[in-house]
Amino acid sequence: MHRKKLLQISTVLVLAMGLGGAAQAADPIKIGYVGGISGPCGGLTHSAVKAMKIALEEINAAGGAAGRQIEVVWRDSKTKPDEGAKQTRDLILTEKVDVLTGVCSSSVFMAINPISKQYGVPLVSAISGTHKATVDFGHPFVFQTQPHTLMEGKALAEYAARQDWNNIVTMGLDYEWGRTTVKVFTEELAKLKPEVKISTQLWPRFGETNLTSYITAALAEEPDAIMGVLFGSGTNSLIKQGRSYGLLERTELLTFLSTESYMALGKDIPDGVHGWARGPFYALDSDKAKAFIAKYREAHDGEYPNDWGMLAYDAMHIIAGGIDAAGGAEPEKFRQALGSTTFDTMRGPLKMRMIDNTFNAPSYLGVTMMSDAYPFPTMSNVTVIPGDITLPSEDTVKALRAAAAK
Amino acid sequence: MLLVQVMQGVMEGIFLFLIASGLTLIFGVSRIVNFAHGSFYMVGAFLTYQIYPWIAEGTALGFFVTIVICGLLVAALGLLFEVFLLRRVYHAEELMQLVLTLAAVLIIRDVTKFIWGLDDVSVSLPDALAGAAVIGGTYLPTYQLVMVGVGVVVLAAVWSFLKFTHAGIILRAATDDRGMVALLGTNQAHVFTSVFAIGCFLAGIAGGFAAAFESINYLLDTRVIVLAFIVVVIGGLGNFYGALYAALAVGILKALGLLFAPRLSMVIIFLLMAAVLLIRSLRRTTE
Repeated sequence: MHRKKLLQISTVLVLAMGLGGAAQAADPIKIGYVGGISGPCGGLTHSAVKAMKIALEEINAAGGAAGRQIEVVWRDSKTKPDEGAKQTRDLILTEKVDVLTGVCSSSVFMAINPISKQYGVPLVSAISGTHKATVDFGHPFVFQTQPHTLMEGKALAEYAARQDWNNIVTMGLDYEWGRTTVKVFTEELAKLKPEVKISTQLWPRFGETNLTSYITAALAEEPDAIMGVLFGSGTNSLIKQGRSYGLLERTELLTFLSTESYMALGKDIPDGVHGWARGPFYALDSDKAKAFIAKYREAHDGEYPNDWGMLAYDAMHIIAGGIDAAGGAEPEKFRQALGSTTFDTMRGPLKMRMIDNTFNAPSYLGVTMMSDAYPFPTMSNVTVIPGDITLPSEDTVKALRAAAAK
Repeated sequence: MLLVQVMQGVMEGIFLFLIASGLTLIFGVSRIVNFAHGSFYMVGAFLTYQIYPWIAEGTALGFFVTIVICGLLVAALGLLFEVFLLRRVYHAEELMQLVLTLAAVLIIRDVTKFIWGLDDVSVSLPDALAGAAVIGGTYLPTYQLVMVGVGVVVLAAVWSFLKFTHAGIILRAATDDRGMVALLGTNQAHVFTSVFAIGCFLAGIAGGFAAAFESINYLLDTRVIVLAFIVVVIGGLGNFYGALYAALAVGILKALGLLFAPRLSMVIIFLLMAAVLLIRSLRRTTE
């Protein structure tokens, strides 16, 4: 009798535990997305949101991560640091999210970063590329899944050193990203090819779209190439306005050219511009990339994903993969899992190193060409500069961190 | 090289004048600081993008026709805005007027986003206008010469309107002393409405020209309004000719600044504005 009762109680207990376990497993993992859905990042971010939604569907259809479904809470930072910080706090404190992602614009990234550090909630950047967040002011729980400014500047120097360019004018947007990229580019190029002369450095204001005075000032140096660190409207204006000055007949141009610029300008982008990009869909021919592009186009009226969509899709899968490998979203285990897993992404296998939580993401450089394949020009002869050669050395990381700590 | 940059500055200045002239006209007559001016400019740009393919894409004539049509459409939009909304707050305090034009900025931006999306769009420059006159290695782009021409035409038109027509005389009088004009039996409302529509027309055509010159998106409104305001402030609020000199000064200073102090070229423009404001207020206090 006594024994029977014990058995009954234990059965109930075991069942209850089982049920409890099941209930816990059904509890979704919450990811907080905070990105510039409106504001200056709006044109980049809409594709990222669409892409992340596709990734999310795939992940959940395959059983989620670590046996739990994934749920995303979407928030708009309006591309403003204070708004991003406010949304991030709310995501952590009210929504109790396990992981944060999104982030467009370095300034918003820098505002969110300390909050992720304070609460120990992992922050995986999908778009913003400032190295300051992961290197200078890095902490154990901030991650970078795409090439940051230090890596990109070095990739550009690698590319420029391979060209027959001995006199270069730089034209960088006058803010964090433009300044840092130009600085790293000139430093790295001086190491690779000391004979190259940087004849002048021009700094268009952020948001400036009449670049004609900059174009004439640059051409006055009779450079072999102009290195433009501009994006979106800036790049577009440079190319459109350059046409009247015979810019491409008089010099060569290397500039940041992500997919939305090709879409906006179409045939107004002449053949022969040297472009660099972070996730050009047309240059990625892995099965994974092909499948995603097909899915994306089907869901969005035949529209192609831009670079940010590509990066965001990869980032979401990396997050889910990390959670899966860690068996949950516990921050330290998540970090260890990211560091010990090789992720099979659309951009090929990517691995994170533990000193600065940065993935060895590649940079893509090539020359523009109109083809029949797409309704807009794309880059041909794409050179992939792998992250392994552009990642800063451990000493550099340490030095930057020591300088930032002062 | 000096000459090239000065020419460059003049061309940029005239374009700035095109944007700022409408703003300063409106302020001169109705004392409204129209924050929505940039929005009307943006609408002009997007309409050009929309309408040009329907008219005759690729031809220069089609381009000009498109721009005039867009200018008229934007003027009509401005007219509606003035008649139904702005007119109601002329007698309210200035803050109300600011809030109203600011509201228009937000509404127009959201509607633009809704219709044309978040991505940049661009109008291809017709081939006939894409070239440049090359004189001794100096490039004078056709398109910018055309814009200078348009600027001169606008200037001449407004000047002769102000100088010779009856409406122009009333306008000048209204800029000087609104109350007196009203006392003499002129219907102020008509003056305000037509000036607002003319200002919007100028914003619309400037936007149309910009569409082929740069790439446009829903943030164009605020991007342009800052420089336009700088020009208007330097030129003296409401002073039409002052806006011209200011636009030229800003254009040339920016271009020359790039040559001698590339890092400071924008600072120089703000310094100019600060200096002008300072001198003006000093003069006022000593008077």
